[in-house]
Amino acid sequence: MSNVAMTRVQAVVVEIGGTPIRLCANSASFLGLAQDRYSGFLSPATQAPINLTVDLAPRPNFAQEDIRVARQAGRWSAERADFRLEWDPKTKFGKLQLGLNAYSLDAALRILHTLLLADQGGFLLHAASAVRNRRAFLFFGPSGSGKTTLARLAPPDATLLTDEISYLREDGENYLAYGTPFTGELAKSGENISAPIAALYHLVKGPANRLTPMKPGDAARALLQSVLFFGEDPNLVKLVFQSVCDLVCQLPVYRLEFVPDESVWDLVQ
Amino acid sequence: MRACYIAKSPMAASRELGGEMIIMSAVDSTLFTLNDVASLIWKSADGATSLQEIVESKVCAEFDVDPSVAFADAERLVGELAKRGLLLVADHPVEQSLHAERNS
Repeated sequence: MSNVAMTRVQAVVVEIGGTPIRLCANSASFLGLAQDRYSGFLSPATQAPINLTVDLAPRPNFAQEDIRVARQAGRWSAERADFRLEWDPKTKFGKLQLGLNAYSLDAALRILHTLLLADQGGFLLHAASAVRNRRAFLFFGPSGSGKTTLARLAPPDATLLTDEISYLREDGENYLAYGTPFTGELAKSGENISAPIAALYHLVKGPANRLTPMKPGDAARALLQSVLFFGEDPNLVKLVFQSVCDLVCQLPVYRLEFVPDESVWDLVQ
Repeated sequence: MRACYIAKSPMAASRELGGEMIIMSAVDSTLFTLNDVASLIWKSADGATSLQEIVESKVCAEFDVDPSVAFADAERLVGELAKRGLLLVADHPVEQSLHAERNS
């Protein structure tokens, strides 16, 4: 008989944006799913400052069709038909109920990161992003604006952070962009690295490649259309609003009209 | 004429960016952009200065406009912003919200 004690793995630590979150579950299927889904973003640590206890619901069918995020007595709750998240920012413990579904887990983690980032001058943005020459470039816009196209056309020296959801956070005098596992049409996880942001580009399909600097007000309005946040908590709305305004005061934001070929990257410097 | 005092609502976030005043409703995340006159009124909405005083001492001092026309326009603007929950309106001085407007 082997002397090696067999212990059942009960938790995985997923580290996105340098923020480790420990997912604790009494289900090998769930832990396997999380390990597969976030393979480039797993931390070897066994403990983390943020802990979520995961309960699998065989057929989740919560009341909310659309996502609803609210804060009551200092505790956050987020609910959609396929998951329910409760989160206490004071204790840094939370509870997640969902089915065995990677999309539900992605959505819950995006909401949790949005809540965490709001206090750190950061936010998640519907944007593709890539690192080139150790600087990050972000391409934002709604579905169909060309985020995945830009990611697909990236030159070999560019490292993809994401083709769908970018992670931004203030860091002293810089803003950093982090890779995320949140994918769009490319279905390819970003690299788990970070870099100072050099510029942001508002994507607009056009007849030719053209770069136009945006005024801060225009840039803030465009960015706010692409930020992931949930408008039911006034303090959260105000924090994200001010973070976006701070960012446009510090970083260049361009309107990028482009045709879908590699030449568009000549404008990204 | 009834006194009218205005203060920024705690349910509004605002920022002056490149000379433009942008306001976001913290209730429904709607964005508003104010013109120059409206920006001046918004910035002056400290809860302690009456609307009439704002119009006379600030709007009419900075823009070439008839005071009665300016006041009527200001009342319409205040009514619109109050309806959207962005301004608090009272017939007596009101405490300014803790929300800090930041300029850049």
